[in-house]
Amino acid sequence: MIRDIIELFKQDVWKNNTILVQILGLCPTLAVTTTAVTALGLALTTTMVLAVSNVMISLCRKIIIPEVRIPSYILIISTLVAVVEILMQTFMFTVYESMGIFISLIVTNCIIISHAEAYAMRHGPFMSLLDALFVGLGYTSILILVGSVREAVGFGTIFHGLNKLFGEYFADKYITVLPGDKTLIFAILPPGAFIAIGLLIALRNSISRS
Amino acid sequence: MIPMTFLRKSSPHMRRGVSTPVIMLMVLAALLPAAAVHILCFGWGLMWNLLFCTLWASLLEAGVSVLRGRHPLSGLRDFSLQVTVWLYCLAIPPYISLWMTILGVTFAVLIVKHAFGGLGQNTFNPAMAGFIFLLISVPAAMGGWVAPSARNLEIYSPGNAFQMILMDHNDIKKNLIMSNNSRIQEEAGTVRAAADGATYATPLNRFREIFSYAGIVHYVPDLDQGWTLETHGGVILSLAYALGGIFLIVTGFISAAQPLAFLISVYASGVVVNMLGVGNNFTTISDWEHLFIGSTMCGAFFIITDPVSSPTSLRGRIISAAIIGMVTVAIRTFGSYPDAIAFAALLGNSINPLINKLTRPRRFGDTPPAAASPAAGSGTRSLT
Repeated sequence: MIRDIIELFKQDVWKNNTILVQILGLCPTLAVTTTAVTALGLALTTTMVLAVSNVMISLCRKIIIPEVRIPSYILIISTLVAVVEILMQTFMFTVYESMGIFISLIVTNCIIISHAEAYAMRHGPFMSLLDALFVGLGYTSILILVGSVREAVGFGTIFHGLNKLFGEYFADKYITVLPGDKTLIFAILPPGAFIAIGLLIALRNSISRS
Repeated sequence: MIPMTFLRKSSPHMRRGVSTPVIMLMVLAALLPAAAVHILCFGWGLMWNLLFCTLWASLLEAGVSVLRGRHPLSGLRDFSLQVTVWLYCLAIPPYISLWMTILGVTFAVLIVKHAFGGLGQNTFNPAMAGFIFLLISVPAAMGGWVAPSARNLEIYSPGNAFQMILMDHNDIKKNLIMSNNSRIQEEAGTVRAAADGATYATPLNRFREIFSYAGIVHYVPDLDQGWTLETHGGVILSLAYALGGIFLIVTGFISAAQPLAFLISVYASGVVVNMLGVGNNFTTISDWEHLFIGSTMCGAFFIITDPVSSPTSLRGRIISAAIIGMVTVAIRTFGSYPDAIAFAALLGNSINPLINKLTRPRRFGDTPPAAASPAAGSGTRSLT
């Protein structure tokens, strides 16, 4: 059991990292990683949806008819996303606004469907929950990394605007990396996202090869 | 008994006795007139940029070669790096801060050239990609062109130019360049539509036009004054590029078809755009001006003729050149960024695989797809 969990952890976080290895869910990744905080926001939301959907699909796996399993996943996931969206509109409106359409698009995030199909349908609720949390950890760490790099190069700060997520205490808890006139706008434009993720994938490949 | 030894040879390809280093050295030689005019017009900044960029890019190239398990000097022997550096330094404003120049050339060499596999594998033109990297990243500084003048040789003497490049306060630098520009223009008495704003990020609408190379040389020409650097600096620079390009054509290093197709396409698109009267730029660019403003000539002879990032067949190259020409005029007319050539060239680079696929030459003895009848199809094909 413990060994299984450790193996699952290694698989989800490093060996089959959703972004760096499976290249799944790239669209929101490229779009929201302009700053570390929006990246963190989307990653946490996605993890939350993934965790609940994995548990629910795992619980329902005996009654879902295989022929219509994909529509069933979509139904469950979209319900969850709708709930999350309404919750965010109520409690975190600024974050909701800064992430825009990408909250709704979590429904179509390949990561969630792929883990529903490949994991939750075949395992019990507890392991499915762990799987979701580990995948979320891998996803979140990469998103924060890409977001931090792009924000540092593009705006010269890291974690600016953390108060939008965690309250006013964090309003000035950001790190200034570059002075304002040394920043490169390129990093926060779409090509910056592609290049940053490309370099991270290259880095991961070179680490895992050596 | 005769020993069974066979001479093993590859296919009898026709070879021309030139190697990559020779081609690249010829391109560098062809760039000399343009570089000379550039220094005459804008002062000695180019010299320092070339020096620093060559040193830094060579270091990077050697480092990458070591990382890829090759001899450190292997990438430096073919001079392609120098061509990249020269085109890049000719494209950027000569007095932007050194860290920007270095960053752009780093991007060009590491990401655009080597991340794609090095010389011969790079999908995009490294010099233009480095230039665009800077144009997008530090747009305000990239507007800092000095007005062309013969006096720039002393205003921006080697010592002063060096100081300008090391100076990192963009606002002070901008003011300095601007006051120099206005003094030059007052003394020369030239009427300029653009140069006042050329060093300065004025409202975006003007910005687009002015901010560019195009902006610098685009003005109301005063023909009574004759041709001086002050009035026709940009045109003279264009002619210097053309001179170098004609040298390359005469010596047979590039074909005349590609630049010609490009220039004809630019001119024709200019005529069409002007006839329709469309476009959102505050000044219209006349048909002939399209050929001589900005980096049209540089693009025609040195950018789009890059053998690596253009299609393989001549037919493909002509098609690609014509497309780049049309895109250039479209960007100049409707676009929000000024220097159209660089963007158009990169766009052209990115559709090369498609052009290559569509212009694949017919195999010898093969029937063209339309003429091949079902009956003859299998029989004739097997002969080849």
